[in-house]
Amino acid sequence: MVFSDLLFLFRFLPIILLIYFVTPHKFRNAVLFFTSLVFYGWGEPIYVLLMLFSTFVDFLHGKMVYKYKQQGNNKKAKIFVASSVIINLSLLGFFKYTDFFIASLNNTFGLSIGFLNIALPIGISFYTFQTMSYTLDIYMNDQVPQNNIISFGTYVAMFPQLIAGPIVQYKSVAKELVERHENFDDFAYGVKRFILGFGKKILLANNVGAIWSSIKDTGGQDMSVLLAWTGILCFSLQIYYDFSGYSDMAIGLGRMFGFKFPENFNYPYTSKSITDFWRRWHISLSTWFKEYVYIPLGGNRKGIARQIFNIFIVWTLTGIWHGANTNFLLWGVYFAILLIIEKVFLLKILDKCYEPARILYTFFLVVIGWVIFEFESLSGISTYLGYMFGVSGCEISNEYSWYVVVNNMILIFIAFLGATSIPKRLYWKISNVITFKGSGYIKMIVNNIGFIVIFIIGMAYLVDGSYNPFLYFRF
Amino acid sequence: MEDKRQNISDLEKIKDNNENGNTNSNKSNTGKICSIVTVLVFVMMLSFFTIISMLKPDTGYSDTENRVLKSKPEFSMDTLIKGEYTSAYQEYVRDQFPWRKDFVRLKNYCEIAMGKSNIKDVLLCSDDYYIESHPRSNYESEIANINKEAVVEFSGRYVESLGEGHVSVMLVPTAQTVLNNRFKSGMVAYDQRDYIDSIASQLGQTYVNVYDTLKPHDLEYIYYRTDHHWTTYGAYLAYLKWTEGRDIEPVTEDSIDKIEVTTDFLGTVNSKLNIPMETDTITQYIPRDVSFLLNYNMGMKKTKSFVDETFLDGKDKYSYFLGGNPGLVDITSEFNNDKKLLIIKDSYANCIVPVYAATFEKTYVVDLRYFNMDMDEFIEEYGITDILVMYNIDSFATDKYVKRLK
Repeated sequence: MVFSDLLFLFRFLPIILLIYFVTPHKFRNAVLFFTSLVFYGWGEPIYVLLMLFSTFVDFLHGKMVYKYKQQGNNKKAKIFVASSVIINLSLLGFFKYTDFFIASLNNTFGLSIGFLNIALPIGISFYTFQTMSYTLDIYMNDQVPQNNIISFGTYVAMFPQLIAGPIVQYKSVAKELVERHENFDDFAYGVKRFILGFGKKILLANNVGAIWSSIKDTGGQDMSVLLAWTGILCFSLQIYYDFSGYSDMAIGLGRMFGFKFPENFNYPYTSKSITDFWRRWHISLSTWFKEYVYIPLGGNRKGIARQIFNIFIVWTLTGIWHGANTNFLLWGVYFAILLIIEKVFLLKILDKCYEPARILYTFFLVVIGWVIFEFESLSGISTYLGYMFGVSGCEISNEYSWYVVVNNMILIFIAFLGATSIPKRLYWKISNVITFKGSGYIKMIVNNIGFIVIFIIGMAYLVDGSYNPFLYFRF
Repeated sequence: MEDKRQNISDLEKIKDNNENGNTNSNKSNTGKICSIVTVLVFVMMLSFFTIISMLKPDTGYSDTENRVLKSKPEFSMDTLIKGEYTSAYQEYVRDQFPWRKDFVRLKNYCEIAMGKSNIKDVLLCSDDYYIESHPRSNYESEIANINKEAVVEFSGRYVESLGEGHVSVMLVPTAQTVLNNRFKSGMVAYDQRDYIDSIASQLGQTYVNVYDTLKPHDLEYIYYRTDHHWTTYGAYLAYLKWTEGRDIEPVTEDSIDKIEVTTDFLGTVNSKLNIPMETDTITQYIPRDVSFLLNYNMGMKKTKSFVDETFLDGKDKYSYFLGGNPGLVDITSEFNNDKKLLIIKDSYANCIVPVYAATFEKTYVVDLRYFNMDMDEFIEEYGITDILVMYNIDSFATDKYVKRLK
């Protein structure tokens, strides 16, 4: 099940909220755990067992790691950490990368091994990373393991972050799993965050996504440089709004139940360098790689050559994490190279540059990256880049491209504006100016009306059955 | 490491900002009240729509959308494991959602407010015209190619056996190509002539060029404003073109009774957007002083009438003609000239069939989607002397049954 669906909003969510809040605190984890299984099982009735297996295995491993660490037997603790990591990566490897691996073998050695055609369990990349963080935290960061398997299961399966992140590290919710205080302020914050995310997904991501999907289907005859750029900009906006919208909904839902999940996006398209971009885009994933791969490998403490190597490893993994395909690998390597260039000399030069130029430089490279991300084949990537740079001999612009631009101008403009912090800053500026007596209530009414409007219009798009893709089926 | 610290302080800034919103107003009790109100509003919205949507009796057939809405799926272990049950349930909730029509309308109003002039492939044109516009990909698909080959092969085969002038293929461009004079500035649509011409060039004599016939009349009422069909008048113009160079005396306009059947027709394009539109007028053309006997679907209904009036009360008023799309209509006129016409068609032909039938002893109207008999056998068995293939180009390019002509 996904959040952007009528069934979730008007069956699942109200029922869960009702059960959850009438249940005494002691049993609330159990409620969350079992309803999350229903949530997951709705879309993956078989693979829910896989998730339970993963949960159980890591629960046991966590206990063993802790036990041996307490005894000072670091060697044995290490073995159990390794075993946990190997089991998780094997699950991920088997379900996600087997066919990719077979295809690579076939290509390299001219073999014809048959594919397994395994359906990828939704969210597996998210929950295996979470469960790994659990044993790793116990080993590396002196985290105390969870004694209650239901509470641990709640951490793994919790439906808000289950299928599209953010990747919540165990240590950041360990306390809340045991004791949390749901209250009106948190719930209200959760509602606002959820509705904002819902609006981002339904009203912005899906609509710019529909433009991209039609441009992607446009054949060479109607293609032009203008259309190609419009298309890939729409995709850039789509993936940002879709992903950050999902994160917002997850954070919002989590907050309703009393959890404070980490932030996942921080206006990535206003980054001032690629290095900066990766601190603002899918933050929970880059943090994960940083803490569990980059730093253990030595980070930047072992000289520049080693650091370059580490960056390369981390971003290759980041790339392939996004899907089992060559283009994702390329996409990761592309960013690794850019980051290394920045690290070696470019950042120093960038620091002296005019800020808008830096933002433009970053955005341009990120957009080129999305072309690699979005097209599966090398020929697809090069054809599209050819369109964008007019190499393939298509026109600069034509009637059709102008029509697409004019027809969607307002939407694209709003989407661009919303990807910056301008609307938010404007909101607070206006809000802080209005301070007469009783203005708090007026703001409250205006705010709530705003949220109702977003929600109702979002519902209208859902009822209409407009374009509503799920982008993370390969993650 | 330094990077990370900056990162965290950035995040804290966002958080601060968010929380500021709460604390700013927290000074009085306002903050608490605001939170409670927000929670109440949300919970009330959720429960309101949930309860209504669960209590509302299911709607079977949607008049506006002209289709049967999804009903509650039957539960079984098998369908659950395959994931079929859950996805069917999702569609069921969406189709049966309360105030469905109003939500769809609201969504389309929003699109209009955003300055869009193309909503769900419908162009909002001037003079209250709403024109469906399909992209190039529809006409460059595999199916479009297969159908092209099928009709070329079919017509070639029967020109040989029935003779030139006895086989014709009429592929009617839709409003997106003919009525581009109604487009607002900057609007573009795929020009279906690209596809039509690629077929015409292989058809030679049998091709009936309807575009050249209709285009000079583009200021007249040749297509409905709210429906994807052409008007009976448009169809009649094409009929006149068809008779040219053929051994047929055309039924002239003054020997036809034109009956205005309804003036409040809102067609399929209207259903798609569900916003208020100017209504259309349906006119029926009946050749004067000729009487016919019609046999629908091999004896299912025998009548003298080309129409089914019950459809005028519903939404789907175009189905007044022939009562929808029967698989086979066998029409006998009072002439004994041994001429037997076979019309293989989609719904574009329905409004004009009486005029074609008026000069033949027998006319057989076949819809390949609902009639299974092999066409070669049919032509042989019924002694067909003339063939007309008539489709609008959009349905021709996407229809899965045209290939049966091969």
